[in-house]
Amino acid sequence: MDRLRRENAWDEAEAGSVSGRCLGGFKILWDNVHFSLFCEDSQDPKHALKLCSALSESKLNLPFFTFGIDEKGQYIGLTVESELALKAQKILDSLSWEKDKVYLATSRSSILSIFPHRSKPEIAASLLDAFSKNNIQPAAMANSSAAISAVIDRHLAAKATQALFGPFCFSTYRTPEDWKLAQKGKEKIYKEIIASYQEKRPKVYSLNWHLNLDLFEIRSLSTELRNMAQLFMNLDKAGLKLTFLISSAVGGNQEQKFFLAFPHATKDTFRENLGNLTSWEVRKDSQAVASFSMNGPHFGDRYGIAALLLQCFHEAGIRPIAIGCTVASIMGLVESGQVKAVTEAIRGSFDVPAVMEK
Amino acid sequence: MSKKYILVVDDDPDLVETVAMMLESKGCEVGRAYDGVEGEESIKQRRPDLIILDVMMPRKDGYVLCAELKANEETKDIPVVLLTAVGEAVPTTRYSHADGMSTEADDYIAKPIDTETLWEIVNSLLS
Repeated sequence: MDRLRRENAWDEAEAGSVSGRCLGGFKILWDNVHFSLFCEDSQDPKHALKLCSALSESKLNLPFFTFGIDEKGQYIGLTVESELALKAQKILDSLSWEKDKVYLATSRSSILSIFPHRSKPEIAASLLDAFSKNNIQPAAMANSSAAISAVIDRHLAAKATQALFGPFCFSTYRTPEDWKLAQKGKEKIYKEIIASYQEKRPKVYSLNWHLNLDLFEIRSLSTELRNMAQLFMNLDKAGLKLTFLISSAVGGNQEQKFFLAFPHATKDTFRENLGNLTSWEVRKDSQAVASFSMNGPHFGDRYGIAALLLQCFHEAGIRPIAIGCTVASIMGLVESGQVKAVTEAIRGSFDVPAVMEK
Repeated sequence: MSKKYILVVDDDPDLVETVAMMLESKGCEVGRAYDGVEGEESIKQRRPDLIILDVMMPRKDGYVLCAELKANEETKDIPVVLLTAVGEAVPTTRYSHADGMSTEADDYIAKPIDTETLWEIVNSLLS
């Protein structure tokens, strides 16, 4: 497709119908603290395992978690409730990192999740564009099977909820006031329900696989949000389905590292649609990775899930490429050849009634 | 035979997607709604062959919606499967198994659900 037409795709979509961006709703967890770690020259997932295990032993919930490894190092993003932040900070300080190679940024944050994204890159594009127009720079992002979540500055969270009502429409809430009413008392009940799950072996509804994906990585300046939005919009126009997304801040939120996976996205398709983005790389060639997702009762809000997953991977000798935990799901990206081993490892630690493949 | 149309109503979007993926793999068509009010509007627009309905939802919970559907001549015959939370351990909520059993729903399944068991229930109600 001709490049000029691609670059105009965003403006056409802005002027045109919004039916594709009519969503079911959005959620926000208001008072949290987000920690972004970049461990330079470290490819050992044991760091993330040690950290998650320590958080789990201290019974700290992780409503949001991302983890990714490339040849430059590993990227970890984790969010805890504000009242637990000091405890989390002490755990981070107590771990034996090589201090001079670890970059840590901390911020008071909210977690905003919109749904459903239906794997359409257009939804991520519209979200990033709304952020860009309102000078909101997410510290991290992750998708689940249904939702896209972004960790944003706590002070900008109210502004962000208002900003959503421009590019998106919500069948459930027609105005920001409708939405506020719908949230009343909800968080308290959630916490009580979450606390009631005490099973030793966590149960998931099913383990869902997306096979034959292509992995793309982008490291961009945080100020390049609009260019990222343009990229997602172009990919949507090219008919690509966004299956996996995480991003994490690098070096004090000046840069963002994105791990993205699409089915049947060739290197050329991706290159054609980059627009003004210049910093990107392909990590694996065609059909080299697979993503899994597990959904459980309020999964993203329960401590120990990420630790258990990393532990079972460690015991089975599996090196995940990336992991994202948000809303009620945990998702991961592994090499295609590891699908069987990963399924077995997960079944060894979680109660999995069904395995589905797409 | 035409595809059965099933409406899944739950405020956990990931669970809606998981259940939808399972139902679609069994050849069903799936509608999605994320709270009781949206579920109600969706039912007005297109009558489902079966409804899978969470109980703990904002604005209108599953008990209220289920009771309204069963009191309405036009919708009382639509089978409803309730998804209940583990409310016994949470004294301050009323979203318990016992409450689920006391409604006029056609069946219920406790969270965390087993998708295969859910399919057995759905299949049996559809046939």
